[in-house]
Amino acid sequence: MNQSDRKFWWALGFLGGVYVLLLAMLLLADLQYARVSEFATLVESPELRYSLWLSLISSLMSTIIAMWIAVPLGYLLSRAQFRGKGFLDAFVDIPIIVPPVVIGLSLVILFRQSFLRPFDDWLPVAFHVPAVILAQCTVVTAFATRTMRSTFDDLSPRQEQVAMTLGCSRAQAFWAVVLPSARTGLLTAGTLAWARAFGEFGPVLMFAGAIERKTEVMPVSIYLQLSSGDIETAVAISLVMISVAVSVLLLVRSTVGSRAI
Amino acid sequence: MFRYQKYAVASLVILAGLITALAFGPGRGGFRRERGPVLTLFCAAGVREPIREVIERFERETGATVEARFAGSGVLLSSLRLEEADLYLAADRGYLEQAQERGLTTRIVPFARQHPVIAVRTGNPHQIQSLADLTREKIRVTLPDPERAAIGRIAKALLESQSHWEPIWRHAILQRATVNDVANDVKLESADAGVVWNTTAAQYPELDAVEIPDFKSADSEIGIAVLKTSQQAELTQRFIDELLDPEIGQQIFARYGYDLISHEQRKVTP
Repeated sequence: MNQSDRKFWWALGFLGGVYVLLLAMLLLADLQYARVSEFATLVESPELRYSLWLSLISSLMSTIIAMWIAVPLGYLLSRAQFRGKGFLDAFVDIPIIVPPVVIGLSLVILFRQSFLRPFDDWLPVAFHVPAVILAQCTVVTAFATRTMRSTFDDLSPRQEQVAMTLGCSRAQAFWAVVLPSARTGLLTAGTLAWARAFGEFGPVLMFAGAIERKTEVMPVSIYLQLSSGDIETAVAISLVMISVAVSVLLLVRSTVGSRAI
Repeated sequence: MFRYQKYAVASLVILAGLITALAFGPGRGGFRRERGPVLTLFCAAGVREPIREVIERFERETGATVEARFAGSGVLLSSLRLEEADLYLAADRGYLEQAQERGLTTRIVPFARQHPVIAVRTGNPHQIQSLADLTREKIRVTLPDPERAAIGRIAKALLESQSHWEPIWRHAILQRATVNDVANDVKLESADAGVVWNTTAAQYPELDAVEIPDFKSADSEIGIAVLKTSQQAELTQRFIDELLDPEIGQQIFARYGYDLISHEQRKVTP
């Protein structure tokens, strides 16, 4: 490595390091603030166990549903040409632009409409568990769609065209050629959607309420603890959330990310 | 079948598994409606700890489920315009009266009292004894916003008559939406003093309460309202009875430092 290269790497390391240092200090401050005894009581509390369980299940469900929408929608926006495409492109970004709590409020208002009443009688949504998933989905699908769209944009359409001249149908080319080349994007979109869903707060609070042992996901637990002044427990729950989220991301990236899927 | 088609099918199988797990999982979640009767209670966040004890007992005794939603009294009041509930418990009578003016309530029952104090860290390191100390240089003050929090409105009304409010408000470095935010500021040392309920200060071991004569005169009544949307007259009445029972609800609230409203003093509306 020559002298100027080394300087370049050092400069990059310094600029990135400032941020990494900030994050590390935040974590250390949290660790120092939370009492060790808090963790012992937390692990035994049925409320926290339930909210962790619900958080994990709902975020995974939201991720799968979001990917089922984001992949086709991203591909459509990337490859298809149709009237109003520019508008649709911006329209799908709405959940990214507006504050998340607006999504929650809008869902509450939507589910008050009388035409949805029969559905709500059959499967209660608002202020029940399905509301958690719907609120998470509405937000994270936009992020996943954006990621998938730029992934497909970066892929040259040539490969699909070659596959189609070799006799593949559009659908076959999509499954056999496009998706395998988009695997990094799929992984990014999936993990981004999951992480967003796992930490989603505003819309869940609005649309699912903060009902203990029912619609209480971890961010809601943190809010409930803060609102009764128990900052130590709020910090302890945050640390549990951070460790779960980081473990999941590391696990996914090291297994799925390294294997040639 | 292409490999990615298999992945897609696998994702659907996982999704089905997750739905099953939710449906038969723990807690009161899932997709079922509750089996027994359900009472929906909108409850001021500051009252969470004592009310949880009342709810636990009530559920054990009646077999009913109480779904409590906790948030600031003002926030809950606006939610009531969008959602249906059985009971609304607010930290200040003002909110209950607003609910009444909007035609949301059938009955209001006040049951406990609290008054503002100045919260400082334990041991009062800055020697804050009076309102005048709040405008001292270098004392960082956090206040509840009169527009958003019940305690802010009451503190302002009490101090405005002697024109104490304006200088303190201008001197404050933080204006907060809920009383717990104010208490958290003092606890986290973002501020040296703040105006909170005496009951809030009592719930924080890290805080001491400085009593101010001006504040003691006015009491805020905590009350519960039966809502028009409720169709469970018997169950709501039973919950209120439990709350007012000297052996049950009143005892729990007294333990948390609330002043109780005796049967004779209680002004039930209408």
